[in-house]
Amino acid sequence: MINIEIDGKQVVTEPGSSVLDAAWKAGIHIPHFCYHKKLSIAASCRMCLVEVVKAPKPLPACATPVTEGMKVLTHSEMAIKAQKGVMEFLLINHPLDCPICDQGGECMLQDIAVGYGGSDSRYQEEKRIVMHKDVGELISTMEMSRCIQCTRCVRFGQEIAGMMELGMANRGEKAEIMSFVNSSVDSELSGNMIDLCPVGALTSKPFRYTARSWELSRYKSVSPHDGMGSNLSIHVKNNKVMRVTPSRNEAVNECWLSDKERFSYQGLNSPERLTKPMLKQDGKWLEVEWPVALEYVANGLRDITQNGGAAQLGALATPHSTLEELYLLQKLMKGIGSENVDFRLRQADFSADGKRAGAPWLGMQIDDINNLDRLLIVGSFLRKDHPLLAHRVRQAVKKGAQLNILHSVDDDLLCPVANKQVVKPDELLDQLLQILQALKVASGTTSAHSEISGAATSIAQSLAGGQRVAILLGNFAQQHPLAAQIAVVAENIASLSKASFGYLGEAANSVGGYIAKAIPGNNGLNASQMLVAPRKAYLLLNVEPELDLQDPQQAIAAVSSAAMVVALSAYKHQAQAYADVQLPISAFTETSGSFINTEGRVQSFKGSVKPLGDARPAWKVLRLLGNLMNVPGFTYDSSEAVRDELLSGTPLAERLNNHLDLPLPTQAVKAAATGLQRVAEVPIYTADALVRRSTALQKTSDAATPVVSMHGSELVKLGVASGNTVNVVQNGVAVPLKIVADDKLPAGVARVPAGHPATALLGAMFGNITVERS
Amino acid sequence: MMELLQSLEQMGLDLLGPLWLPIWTMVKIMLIVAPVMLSVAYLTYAERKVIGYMQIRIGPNRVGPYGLLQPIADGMKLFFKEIIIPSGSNKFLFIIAPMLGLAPALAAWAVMPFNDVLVLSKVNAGVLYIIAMTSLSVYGIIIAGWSSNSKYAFLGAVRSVAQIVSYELAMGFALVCVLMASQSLNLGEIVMAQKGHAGFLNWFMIPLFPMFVVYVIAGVAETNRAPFDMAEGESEIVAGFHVEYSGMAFALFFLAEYANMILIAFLTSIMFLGGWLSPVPFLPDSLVWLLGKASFILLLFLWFRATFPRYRYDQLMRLGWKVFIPLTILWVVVVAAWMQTPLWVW
Amino acid sequence: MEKIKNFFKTFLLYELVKGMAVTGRYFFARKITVQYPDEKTPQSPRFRGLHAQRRYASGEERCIGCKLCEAVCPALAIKIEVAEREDGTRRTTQYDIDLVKCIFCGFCEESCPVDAIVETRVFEYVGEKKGDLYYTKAMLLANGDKHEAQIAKDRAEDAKFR
Repeated sequence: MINIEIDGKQVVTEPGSSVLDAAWKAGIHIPHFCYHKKLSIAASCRMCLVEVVKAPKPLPACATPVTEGMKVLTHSEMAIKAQKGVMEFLLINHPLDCPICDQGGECMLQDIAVGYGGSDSRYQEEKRIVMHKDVGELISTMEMSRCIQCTRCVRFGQEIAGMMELGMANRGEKAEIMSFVNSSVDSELSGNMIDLCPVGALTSKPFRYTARSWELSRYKSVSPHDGMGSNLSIHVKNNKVMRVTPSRNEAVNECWLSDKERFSYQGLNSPERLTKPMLKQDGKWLEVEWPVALEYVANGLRDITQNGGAAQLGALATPHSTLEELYLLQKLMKGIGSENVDFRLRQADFSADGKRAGAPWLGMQIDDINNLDRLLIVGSFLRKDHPLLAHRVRQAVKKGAQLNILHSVDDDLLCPVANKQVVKPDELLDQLLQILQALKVASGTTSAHSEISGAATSIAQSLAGGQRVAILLGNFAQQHPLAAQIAVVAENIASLSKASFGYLGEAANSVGGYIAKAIPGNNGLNASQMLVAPRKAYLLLNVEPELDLQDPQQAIAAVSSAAMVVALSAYKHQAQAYADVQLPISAFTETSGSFINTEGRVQSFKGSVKPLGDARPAWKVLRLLGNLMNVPGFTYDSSEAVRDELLSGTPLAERLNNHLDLPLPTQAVKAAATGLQRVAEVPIYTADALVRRSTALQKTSDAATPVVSMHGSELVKLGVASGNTVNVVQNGVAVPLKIVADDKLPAGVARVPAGHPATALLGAMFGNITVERS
Repeated sequence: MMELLQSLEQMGLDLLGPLWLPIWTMVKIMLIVAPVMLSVAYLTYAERKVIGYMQIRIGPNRVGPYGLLQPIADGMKLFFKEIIIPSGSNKFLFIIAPMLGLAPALAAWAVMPFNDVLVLSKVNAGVLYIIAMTSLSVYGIIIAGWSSNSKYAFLGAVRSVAQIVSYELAMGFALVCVLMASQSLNLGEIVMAQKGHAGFLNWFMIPLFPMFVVYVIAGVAETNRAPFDMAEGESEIVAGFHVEYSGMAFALFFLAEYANMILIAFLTSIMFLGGWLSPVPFLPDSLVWLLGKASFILLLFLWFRATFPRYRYDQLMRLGWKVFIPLTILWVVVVAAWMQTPLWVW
Repeated sequence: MEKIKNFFKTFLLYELVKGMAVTGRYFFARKITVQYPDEKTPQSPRFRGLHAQRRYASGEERCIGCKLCEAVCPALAIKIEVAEREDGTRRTTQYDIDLVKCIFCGFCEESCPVDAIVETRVFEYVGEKKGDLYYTKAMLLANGDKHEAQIAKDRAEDAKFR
């Protein structure tokens, strides 16, 4: 440890830390712009100049490492002169029209200019003007003249987002931040640049000019999107969510937020919001009052229970629902007598049900990912499905971790990949078995096997050589028709390589759903079975069947044939066509609740705004339905009471277990290799109801209409060129899509995204698919 | 003028016989009441003007030349305003109270001499009559306060009555001195007792100066005028006993207050300032002197209001009971003793 | 001696007479009443009367919707909504002053970085029914257009003190 003195205060700090860190520790604020804790040090703004005794010139505190016995003065005459000088230089070219600027009121430059700057400027000459650039729909660069060249955004792109989309061009007075020729900023973490920008150069485009920082009330909340459970700060004005910014939590999202979480709030105020309970009478939708609608639902459910048996009821919920909602839904269903309830909507293989030792989870803490040295990620569209987790993986790789990938597509992960094996979906299990075999060979338990591919061997070697190893299954692996077997093999690989084994949670409550027991009971039907054998009545909690389910064709057929469909939804969606009752429920900002993120962290939040119109929190609606159906135990008067009931007893940590009680498959059953196999991802901005209605996100390149991509050789076989429109046919339904050649894909694979309106008529996310010339 | 009146009376008697007496009396009453009411009206005008001037303002000047029609306008306004009768009030008493307030104030004028012959009724016990009449107005106040069924009105009435009753004592003792000095209860004779060769030096104001001061101050208190207007006490009890009154009912209380002021002013002139007697021997006695003296006392009333802040209620009571009453009793004894000496020259 | 003096002062009501002398003197003093509709008091260029929104000579409204006046208003009388205009500038879509709430402190005027919201010398205005004194942006701009000459003169006169 090193002892230094700052402004007369004794500070003990670690060797190698900067003066600025040490001052921060001592509670002394040194003004700065370019310095950011999570970014590398540029020392370009010079605002943090301090006097170091015996140094002839003021030194930048952010870039000066501490040395034993150092004496630092942050308010000496020299330091103040330096700060005033720097401030004057910074303001020479910065427009002084804070009243117009969107950053006004929350601007570092404004604050520091008031605190450390002079009262007027001596600069009389013309100021420089930097033309604005178009960098996409999320970040507004209308005011690039305000840039002070701190390069935080550039460093963020390089170091955190993994792609350098902004750079500083030219030198001196002509230096400008710009993107590469006319390209937009497409990183799924790009919104963080808005937070990072200390001035008003990069501001939020959807938020632009809509509110002032001092008008906003801030409420803490939790992201309802991916399994990360990012902590949010919801900014509210006049009972309307105006924007979302990250809430710092080093264990989860640090100080970052993915664009999905940052901009999805636009969906909260969407005109598509359902604000009144609606009943369908003679094919027409009528707005009714809550008691009428609830009575109608209760009568309908009672009717079906009496005539067809309770087993004729089925309930589906999205894993984006809160813990309390999922728990009350399953409690209601089981109270009525039906065990048909499920939240794993996109899962295809349910053979692991009943064989699980606990709820599947990440198997480790999220912040431990940064410290891994060997990683195997199986079947994950990592960057799009888990943007912030991908960032942590990148940080691990940057520190020297070896990243191994086994997947059916080869998307750029923006970091070096040690070994990758890209195979057709039905070969995934086989490849995993080969890795297992290779590990066994390496450990000497089996003799060499000829069928082991080179890639499998190198992955196995990589895994065996690590100290802190993790094997993670992504969404693709979990949705795979052989998901259970893949998991068993992965678990075995993990035990052989002393790795931790886990699942990357698909949604905010992918773990919570299991904890809430929103899974079918012993006699119940799972999500897939409920659709294969249609039920007479469906309760849909937040579900949009055509977009949220594994097989939309089956889903639509099932709900269309049902006698009664009750859609509890925040939105008017396709349910208008087949539902009988639509109950408006509140979005996550309008209700209290909890999410259990993929690492098993329970995060509860309170409502930030009042529910829109007549919408009500779903837990209240379900509670009332429970009362109306005379189900015992529905006496909760707060969502906390629901949560406490379901979390009481066994500690949560003991309920999380990835072990599967299934035999290890010895040989993968290879399907007959005929035709093309579908590889379906859920595009990042259609993954859940909220983002689908965020207008700004829908204009980004990630939300572009899906295309079918195939290996170039397949295109040649078909006789079409990249850019042509082809018919994609699955189960007899043809959908016209543009075709694009992607030579990184394995041959025999057609990548057709699911969960998008354009592909909602197609069948299951896996399986055979035909592509025809149109 | 006397001849004119007498011939007029004679003519009437000849014409109508015994029927003439009530008619003639009514005419004489009107001849007193009408100017009194007019004076009341213009006293309000004078009050506003005088206080305005003392506060470097102009006062009313919009209605008519110099605002001279202001009291008429005020009267019209009050006349046309609705009389609101509170639902919880005793309706009969509520309506009768303002009349009980005004009637004694006017009735007292019956024995008021305007010169040695010009008086409605030459009552030998005129002073007693006046004391009795002014005391009656207390009933108007207490009835108004009680019948309003309002705590503010009731508190105001209690304050007001307690104050009037208290100061009546001091006032009475002050008058005893006058009676002793004049050896008469007849107001006209009281005035004549102040006649002499030395002009104003003959007035009772000189030997009874402390009583004069006490009488004026007690008079202010009697009429609930500033600085003794606790009965109104805007800051604590809104407006006192008449808080529930509006329109003409309110106007009657208003008239009564000002009629009482004028009455006190006349009485002070008669008792202490030699009534219609001229202050200097070389000028003739005349009604004009009486009016002038009364006007001066009224000016004092207004002047007080413009100058002094309101008393606290306990101070008011202390002044009445612990200062004025002992002082007046003492002065009665002093005057009695004095009158037995040759030094008494009045 | 002092005691005797005090005794006589008390009994001769010295203080009261002194007080009356004051009011008596004022009785003859020159009256300061301003006969309002006929006469008016002189106004300072800083007079804070009815609000107005100004325009530049080009006809462009000055207000840039920074909301500083809304933030500084102690009576919460100002309501502003802002949006981006087609030309990309920051403009108000709503700028209302509730003159019933307004206390005419002049903070809005003082906080305005572009001299857009000003208080004119106009103080003779009435509202005949509820809502008449709720001034919208259009009304404020109209006020500004009407009194611009006077407003500009007043600002110029006061400029050297600001």
